[in-house]
Amino acid sequence: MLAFLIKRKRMLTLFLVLTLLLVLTQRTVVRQGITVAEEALLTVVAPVQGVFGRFARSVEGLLISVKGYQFLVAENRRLQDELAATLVLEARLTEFRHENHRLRQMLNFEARSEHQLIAAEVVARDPSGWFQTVSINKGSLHGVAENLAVVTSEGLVGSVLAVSPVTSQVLLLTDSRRAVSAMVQRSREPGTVGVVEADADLPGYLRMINLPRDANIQPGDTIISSGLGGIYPQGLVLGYVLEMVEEELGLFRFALLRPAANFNRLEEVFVVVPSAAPAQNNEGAF
Amino acid sequence: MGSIIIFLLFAVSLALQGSLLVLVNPGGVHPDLLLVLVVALALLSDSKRGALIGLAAGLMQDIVFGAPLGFNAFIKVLVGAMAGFLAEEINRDFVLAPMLLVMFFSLFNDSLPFLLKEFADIRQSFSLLQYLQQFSPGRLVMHFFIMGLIYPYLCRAQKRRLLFPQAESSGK
Repeated sequence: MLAFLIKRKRMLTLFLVLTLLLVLTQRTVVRQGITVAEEALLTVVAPVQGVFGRFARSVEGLLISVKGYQFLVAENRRLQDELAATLVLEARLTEFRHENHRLRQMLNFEARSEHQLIAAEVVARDPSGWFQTVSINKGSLHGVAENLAVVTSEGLVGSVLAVSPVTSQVLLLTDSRRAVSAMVQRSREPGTVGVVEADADLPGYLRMINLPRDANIQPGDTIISSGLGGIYPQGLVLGYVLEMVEEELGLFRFALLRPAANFNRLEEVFVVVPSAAPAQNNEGAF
Repeated sequence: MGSIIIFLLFAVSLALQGSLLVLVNPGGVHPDLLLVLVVALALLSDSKRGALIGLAAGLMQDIVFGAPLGFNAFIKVLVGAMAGFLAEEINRDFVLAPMLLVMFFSLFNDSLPFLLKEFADIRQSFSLLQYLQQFSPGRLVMHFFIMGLIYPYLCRAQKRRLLFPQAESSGK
């Protein structure tokens, strides 16, 4: 027996390594923190990714410019009009903010602390299609921490999965390892709090599950994070209801959602840093 | 020296794979540069080194792209070991053999994640057949040509013993 094992030493070693890797895979489906070795590797690869990422964006930008010059001119004009309108709105908003602040002071209310946003560039994304993650060029040195929400101007994108000093990995909402507690913005009924997760049948779409049959929800509704669980602040837009679908057993329904953020064109994102330290729990961890 | 060159090759491949090559995506298909490298390097060495190269490349891929640790490593260890096993059977100066072999390993590399995802209880976004029909043909062709581009350079580097100083410089 021993002679047989010695003879097959190489095969045995390979089998052991593969078994170890299988166990490791199962135990790290959702990783909690990264090791020193991982941190070192990410620190080495991040600058190279940054250079290639910027180069890729320049190439892409150039191609788009060449392809759609006329479109860009029209869009530029439209954006300038929108900007002018926004400036008027901003001025009014500033007025309202001052008024709000003054009234709160008069009523002796404490001003509600706003979330701090850390702007970051997407420098790489997993091209395999098996997992939906992107790398951003901000890490713990810039104040990024695990489990913080990541947004764009359109809506919630995902949350920080792993952090090294100069780079972080973001687990996107479209990854099947992530789920978010959510509610309907219009009704805000506690009874319509559901869980939004990636749709396994329609990649790139989301579904809000565990909705009671009588839930007040309809196509076109905006779905926002409920704030339950502590990872995602309340009120971040997740997506828009496309249709309601009866589940097989008929006890619950689910809503098919179009994500608010465009996951195919993620270039700049914001990491949301809550005013208080984020609560450590397992919202969304499968 | 060889290990440093291989590490740098992997690091640059990973950076390219996650950025520039994402732009080259006809029909949403992206090439897996790291897989081509693992097959090429394993074919220039043996099964033991092939498995080690696969392990290193897979772990780096898992870490950099946030996959469960061991997911890509498992696949690439197997690919590296099998390609290394075939190293003695091919003429290393004949570039068509690695180009054809990388197509076989691409198919293997595309199929195995389904079993692993089932094992790790991660929900699947595609069925195996859907995935193979939609993505594999394009990827196979891409890998065929990428191997044709990089293999001659790696072969020349190995002849100067830059990659595996202790290994034989030529096969059959």
